[in-house]
Amino acid sequence: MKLTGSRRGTALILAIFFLVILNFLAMALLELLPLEMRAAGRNRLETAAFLAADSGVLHALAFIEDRVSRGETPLPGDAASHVLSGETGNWNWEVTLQADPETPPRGTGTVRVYEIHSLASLDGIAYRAVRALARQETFARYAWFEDQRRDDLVITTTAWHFDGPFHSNSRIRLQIPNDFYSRDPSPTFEGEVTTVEAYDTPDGVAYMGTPPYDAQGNPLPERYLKIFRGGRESVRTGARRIELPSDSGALAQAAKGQSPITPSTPGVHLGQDASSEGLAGGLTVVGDVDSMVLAVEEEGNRSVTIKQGSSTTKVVEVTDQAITDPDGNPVPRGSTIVYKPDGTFTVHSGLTNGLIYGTGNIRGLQGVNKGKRTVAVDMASRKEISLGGPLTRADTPVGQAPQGGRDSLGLVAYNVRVPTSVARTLNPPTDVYAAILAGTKNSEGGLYIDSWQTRTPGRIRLYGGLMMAYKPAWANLSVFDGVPLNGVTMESVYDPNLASSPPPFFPTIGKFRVLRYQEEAPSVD
Amino acid sequence: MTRPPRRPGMTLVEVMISTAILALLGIVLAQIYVASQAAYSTGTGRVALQQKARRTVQRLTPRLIQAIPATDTRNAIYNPEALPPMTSKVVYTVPAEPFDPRSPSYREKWILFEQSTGLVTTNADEEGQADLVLARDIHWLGLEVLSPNSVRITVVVQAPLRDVGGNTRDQEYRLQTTILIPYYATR
Repeated sequence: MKLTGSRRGTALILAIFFLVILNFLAMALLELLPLEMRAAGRNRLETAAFLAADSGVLHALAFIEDRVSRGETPLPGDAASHVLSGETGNWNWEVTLQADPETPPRGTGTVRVYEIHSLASLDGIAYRAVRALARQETFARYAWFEDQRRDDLVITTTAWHFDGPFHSNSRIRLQIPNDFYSRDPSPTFEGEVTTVEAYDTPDGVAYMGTPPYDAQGNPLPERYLKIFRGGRESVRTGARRIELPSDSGALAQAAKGQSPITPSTPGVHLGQDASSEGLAGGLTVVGDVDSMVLAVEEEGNRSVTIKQGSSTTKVVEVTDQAITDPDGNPVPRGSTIVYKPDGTFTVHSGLTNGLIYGTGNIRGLQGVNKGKRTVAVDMASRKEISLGGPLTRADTPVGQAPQGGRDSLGLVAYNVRVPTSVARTLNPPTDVYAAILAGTKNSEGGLYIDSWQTRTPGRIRLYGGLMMAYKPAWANLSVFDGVPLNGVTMESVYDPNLASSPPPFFPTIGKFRVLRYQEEAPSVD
Repeated sequence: MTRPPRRPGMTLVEVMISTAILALLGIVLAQIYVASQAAYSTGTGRVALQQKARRTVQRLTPRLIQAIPATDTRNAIYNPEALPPMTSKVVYTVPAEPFDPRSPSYREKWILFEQSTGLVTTNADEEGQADLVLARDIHWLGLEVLSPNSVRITVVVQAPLRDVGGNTRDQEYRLQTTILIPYYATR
């Protein structure tokens, strides 16, 4: 249609009208679009920043574990902190590692603690900061650890129950009784099972009896679940080898404190500070010990009585309530009083670090433990700790599992021995609340039961973990039902608190555990 | 008799037709305009709801992400077994302050949603202090622990919306996201 004259105006009006309407629509879109785009963009940034910051933390953990496993300090030289950096895609991360004051080599502790700060940035702008605190793990994290295992030793699935992490530097062989898969008990292994070596079987474990897989090696989940709480996935062979310590030199040093002189005369010595005035360390017992009794005094303070021949020394740490010394003078809380064999006593300011280190054998160890404590002997000289009776703890009723880590006890020796006077009844069992480490790297140290072949059967109920270089035989079990015919059976109840709250100076492994993790700064808009 | 000269202009029929066309066009355009206005207000309302849902998730995330197991055998985060209807709750452990890495202790925290009040609350960082309100006017908050280190959060928010006809109806926005707690911290 051809418009002429003044009729052309209608087209203009219509065009303007349409333009106005379209403008409204465009404005509405323009206002909504950036909001959506900003939200989507922010989500993408947040996710990428999270992953970049996490990369930094993971790199730092791997770096620390690698250095420690090679016997090197993660922070080069004597530095208190160390910076690492890297990139993932366009993102950069920078990690600052900081050792806490007690971490060696600057500090005197045996357990390393590092703070990891990771900062993720893009084009020079910091987007996310996280902080993780990692602490070195100790052998106390295991319910069961063994360095070597003879191939002829078998674990009868009906007679054993491991309710925490199990690790073997060799490989394991299980005996499956005939009707095992039709029974309904708790699985034999409740926690993860790791072995360094493997048998040539579908899962690396040797089975005497019906295996939990079919003829083609396909796992049968319902059978696996009878043996392992986590099923097939909770058994892993080819794990990294974890070496036992070769000596207990670090413990000797920690017991000695900063004193320049190493105690050498028989008797009980307190770790002193550099000026030999205050208490800084634990107890060093020179010579063989005939009996060592841990106890809680009437006032709630913890004590240890050490008998060496005709000499008896008693050390009371005033942990709870002030007492008076034999002269009637007050001994305030936070002090330690030593009653010497000659009838005299000394009072020291401060408490021990919880370590009792013996240069000789310690026999007759028993009693009630209060506070964190480790009893150790010279492992390089193949010294032993022998039990004298039950070892219980003040914070836990006998026969119950500990609910915390306040009174955790550790035993560290070349051999831990159960003499014929201990644990030779099935009911009641002998209760031992401790993380026990027995044996050095590549040795035959372990937990030994005296005269197990000939004596009446007995039972030890261990609340804690057992870490051994070598697992000797302890008992003769009936092949039908796993009931002991003679010797001692070990009924272990894993105490997970020992992993998070280990006994003092308990030997460490190369793994680190993240104890806390948090964002340091909010993510940006 | 001569006919008067023809003046430029439109006949009555032409005017009526063009008026009718213009009226029709006007009606159509008015409808487009009203619809676009309604779409705009719906859109801004939805964006506001989305922002509210996102803010809620952002308030929960940094809290849940610091969950850490007290021991190897306990979970860092879990759903309590028995809960009153129309509520959801997640319980998680965090380091207790002051924190000593050589003798660590942990405490339990929780996040609770009650549909009757629309409130999302959490217990205070220190014992004995009043619970904190993390979000209000939430229609539903699902806190579902999927694995030892992941939690699915479902936020449903609603707002009244007036449509073209002047009727009010509820507009709903549902946001679902899964929070991953670093696996190395929870193993």
